[in-house]
Amino acid sequence: MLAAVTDRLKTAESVTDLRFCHDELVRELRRWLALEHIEQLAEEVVGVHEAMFRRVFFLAEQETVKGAVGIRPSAWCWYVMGSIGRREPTVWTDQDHGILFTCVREEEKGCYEFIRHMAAIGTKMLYEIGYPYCSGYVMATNKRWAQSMSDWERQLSSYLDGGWPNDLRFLYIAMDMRPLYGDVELADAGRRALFAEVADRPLLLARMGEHVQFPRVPLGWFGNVQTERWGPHSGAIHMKQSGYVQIANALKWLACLTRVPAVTTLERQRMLAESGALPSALSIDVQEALAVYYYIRLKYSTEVEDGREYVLWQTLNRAEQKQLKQAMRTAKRLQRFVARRVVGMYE
Amino acid sequence: MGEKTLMFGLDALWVMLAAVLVIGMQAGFALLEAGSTRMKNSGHVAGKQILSFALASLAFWAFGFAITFGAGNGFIGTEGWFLQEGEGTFDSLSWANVPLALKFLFQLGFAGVSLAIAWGGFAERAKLSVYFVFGTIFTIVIYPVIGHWVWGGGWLGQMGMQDFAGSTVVHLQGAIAALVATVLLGPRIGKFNKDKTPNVIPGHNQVYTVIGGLILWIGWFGFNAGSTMAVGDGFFGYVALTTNLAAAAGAIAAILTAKVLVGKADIPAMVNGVLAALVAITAACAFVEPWAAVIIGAVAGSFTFWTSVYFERKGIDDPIYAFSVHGIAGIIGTISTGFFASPRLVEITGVGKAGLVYGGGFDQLIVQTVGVVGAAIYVAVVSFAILYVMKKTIGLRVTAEQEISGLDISEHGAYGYPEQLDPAYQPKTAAQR
Repeated sequence: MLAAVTDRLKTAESVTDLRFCHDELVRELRRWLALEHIEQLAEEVVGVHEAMFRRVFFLAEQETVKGAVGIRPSAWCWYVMGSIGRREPTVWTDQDHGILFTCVREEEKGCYEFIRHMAAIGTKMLYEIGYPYCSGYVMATNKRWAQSMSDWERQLSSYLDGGWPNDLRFLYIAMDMRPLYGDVELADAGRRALFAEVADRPLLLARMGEHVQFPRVPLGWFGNVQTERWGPHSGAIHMKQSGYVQIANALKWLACLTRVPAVTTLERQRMLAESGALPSALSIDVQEALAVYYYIRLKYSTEVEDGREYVLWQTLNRAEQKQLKQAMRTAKRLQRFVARRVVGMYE
Repeated sequence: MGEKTLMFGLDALWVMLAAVLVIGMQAGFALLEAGSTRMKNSGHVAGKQILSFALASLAFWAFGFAITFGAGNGFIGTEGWFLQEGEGTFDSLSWANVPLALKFLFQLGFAGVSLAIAWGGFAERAKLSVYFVFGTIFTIVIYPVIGHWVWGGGWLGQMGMQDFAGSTVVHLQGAIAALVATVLLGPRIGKFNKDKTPNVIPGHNQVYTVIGGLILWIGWFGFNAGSTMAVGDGFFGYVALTTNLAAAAGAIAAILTAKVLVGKADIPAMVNGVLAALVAITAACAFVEPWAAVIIGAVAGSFTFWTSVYFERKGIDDPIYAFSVHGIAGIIGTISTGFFASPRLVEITGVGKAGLVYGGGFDQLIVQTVGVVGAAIYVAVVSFAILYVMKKTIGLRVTAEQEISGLDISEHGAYGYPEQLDPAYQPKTAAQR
């Protein structure tokens, strides 16, 4: 369905070409969008984004090498996180990425110089082709997310030992690390180490399970949807925080608990169901809920670029409202499922 | 001392105490409104409460009391100016065995409360001169007319309208005036975005709001129970009971409704729920059984939260939700006796008939509805006419510059919170020193 865009991307040489491809993705999606094709569409959308990112990373690397800035590390990997990491991005998705590298100690300073320069070019280029800067600054231009492997391990230890709410938030973000360009084994190893470390710390795991309960799903006791009361998005719901992020985090947590090594949300859901960690009825509902969230997020992201995570409740049709309410109920059920497991861990 | 003299003294003391409680509600309104508005307007919002009560005191003494309770026709009283009492002048209050001065003081408290409610719609953007002019006219031309219709021997009273302490006479009137004002004044700067979505303009002190609500709750014992104006049969205790039960139900219903509708157990919503319930039970407190008081309070507390959200979404900037809390709840309370007035209590009070759930038919319900509609139309038309003329002549609203800098400094020359807002009191940097 989106093959034309992917083909064009392979030969894109400039920001203008890439931006054209991004816009073309929107136009093509409007033609093909339907709930029944959503899994295939998700694959293709993420494929386009990945191709776009890879192209940008390639161009950024070329430019940095051409400029002879710093020392190119012996091994390095540009990874993605967030919705692209979990393979469920909409059209206009934030940048969420980082870099890991290894090098000999004497060259570390030079390598950092190379990585920072490359990150700055790549991040700017991504912005120019339609990927907004991450509001939480989860980008390779932030030292926190662009480090040598040894520094990364030190930082990870501080999060694991700290256990403060921000530490937990960073751990959850890092759980979505997926390599996209360079030496893929670096990011894969980093993520595997993270999952193993968390799984070996029951108290930390319990705290992270509590974190899954927030934010609360905005669905009232009588099944009424609690839209934004004030501000420019009055009457709208925030699509990520209305159950989607809760499901994503709950699946991450369960994957960690049961040592399921999957990286994407759908893989996690399938592997958790296969292993019996997620009851089959709940698992089916979660799968359906994810499809609904993705479909609505994708549909509305093709219509507006600004405030794209907010959807006015009244603009959803009857069927979508019903499906979304059901998805929100599922998110609440999954939160309760995790909460019960957490209580068991403290006993 | 004879029994008659003793009862006269006790009734007088009770009404004096009730008058103090009702007049004390001005302090509750001052805190409630100041807490619910911004720091830059706090001195103005609180201070205008004294101005308002002072104006009401003089205007009600000179004209208002006579129009409300003086002998006259079915629409207005025409005797008793400046409280001059002649033969049969104040027969409409002859059932109360207390001196005329106390009857006046007690009823003045009600007029003052009605005016205080109206100011809710003017908050944070009306000129000070508007308070002088409209406050005086409201106390002479608007409040007394409805008061006369219901309590002064007017046509609604003759029909048997049940409004024991003023859900319609006091609260609905003030609320309709507030609504007319808020529509004519327009929203505060920054309340709505270009696409008409509303922004939150939070009050500066929730503690004030809560304490204001509590003072009003206490004051309501004077308002409702005091309206018996007698201690002999102890009926005031029953009225106090229904009043308190309704308030409690309103608080719980409002906070639960807020939690269900918007996901947050909103504290100002709970305070408004208490007030809405108290407004609603004001008409019904002497006519309904305790279980019905709980229902009336809960419905008012819950429904008015919903209406406050609804009106805001419809582009009406009612800064302290005066229309929902006093208007919608006033309607609910007045209509409620058409359903819940019990035969036992109707016999005690001697007003109207039993309600629908007791097999009393639709008679009382129709009377109550006519009362609400009639009062609302009169207040809306007259308030609109007065405020419209004022808007076209002296103007209602301060300038944008004055509104932005705040009414404390623009109208009164000093901030309510100088250390926080006045640059002269801000700590200076080394360079500035």
